[in-house]
Amino acid sequence: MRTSAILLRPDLNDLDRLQRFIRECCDRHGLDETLHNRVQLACEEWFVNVVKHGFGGSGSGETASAGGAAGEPDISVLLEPAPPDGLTVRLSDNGPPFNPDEHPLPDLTLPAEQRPIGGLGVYLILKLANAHRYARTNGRNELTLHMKPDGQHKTEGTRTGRNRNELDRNTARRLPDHPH
Amino acid sequence: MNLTVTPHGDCRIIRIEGRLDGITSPQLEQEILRLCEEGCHRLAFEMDALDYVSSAGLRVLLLAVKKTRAAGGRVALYGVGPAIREVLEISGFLSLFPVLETKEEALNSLA
Repeated sequence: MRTSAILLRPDLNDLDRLQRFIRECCDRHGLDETLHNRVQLACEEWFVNVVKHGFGGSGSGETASAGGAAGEPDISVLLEPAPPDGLTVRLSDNGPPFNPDEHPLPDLTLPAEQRPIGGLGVYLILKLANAHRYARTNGRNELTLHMKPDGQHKTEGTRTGRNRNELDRNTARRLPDHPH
Repeated sequence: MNLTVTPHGDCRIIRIEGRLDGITSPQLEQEILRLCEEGCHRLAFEMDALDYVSSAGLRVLLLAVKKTRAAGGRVALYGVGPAIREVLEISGFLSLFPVLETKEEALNSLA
């Protein structure tokens, strides 16, 4: 199965490159437009987050290296078709640890006057994926998103449990059927 | 992204074409702040040509709601496609402003 990868600089100007990369990959594999949109959105939210919070950049390359990351910034996106019509998105960076599962959920019931400006990016990433998994491995944040074109986004309040279950089910399918 | 602002009585119709993302949303933010400074607090967003919105775009829409309400105004959206609607729904934004079909409905809701 053909995998596509891109390396990004911690600079918001690279968002354009990331968008073109995703567009080309989805076109090449004939992926559904709804899926393409969700992948674009999840990846943008992740990338902007990594640039701003992981590498302390506000968008220009000059300030981006001042963050807490060890060594040279190393940000990558890997897209891997998941037959028949899905996509596995592997998001990786060597910024400071950031576990999206520990990120506070926004309160979507608040009236407009009380809603904080911002804070929806991480929530969107996790809601757009059918399942996700985060790991801190060898000094890197590794976030894997399993994305499918069918069905609705996840429903309220089932994030951690349901994702975990879905991921386990997916993993289980690849394992031998009879463990004994 | 392309922005077109058209006056309609004391309302302003803001047509957004293309992508409202981390790159383009500051442009919309400036436009909204400018309109609010000019005393325009009834804003209808025409979104039939909007292809994509990210949290950066949502942030600006929320800003528009807060700014206009603080001045006794309102915001309405119309012509919203399914991809944009999905993002608004996930983010709990459908309760923040009316999301209508036509320009007439939007302008009526602002009247």
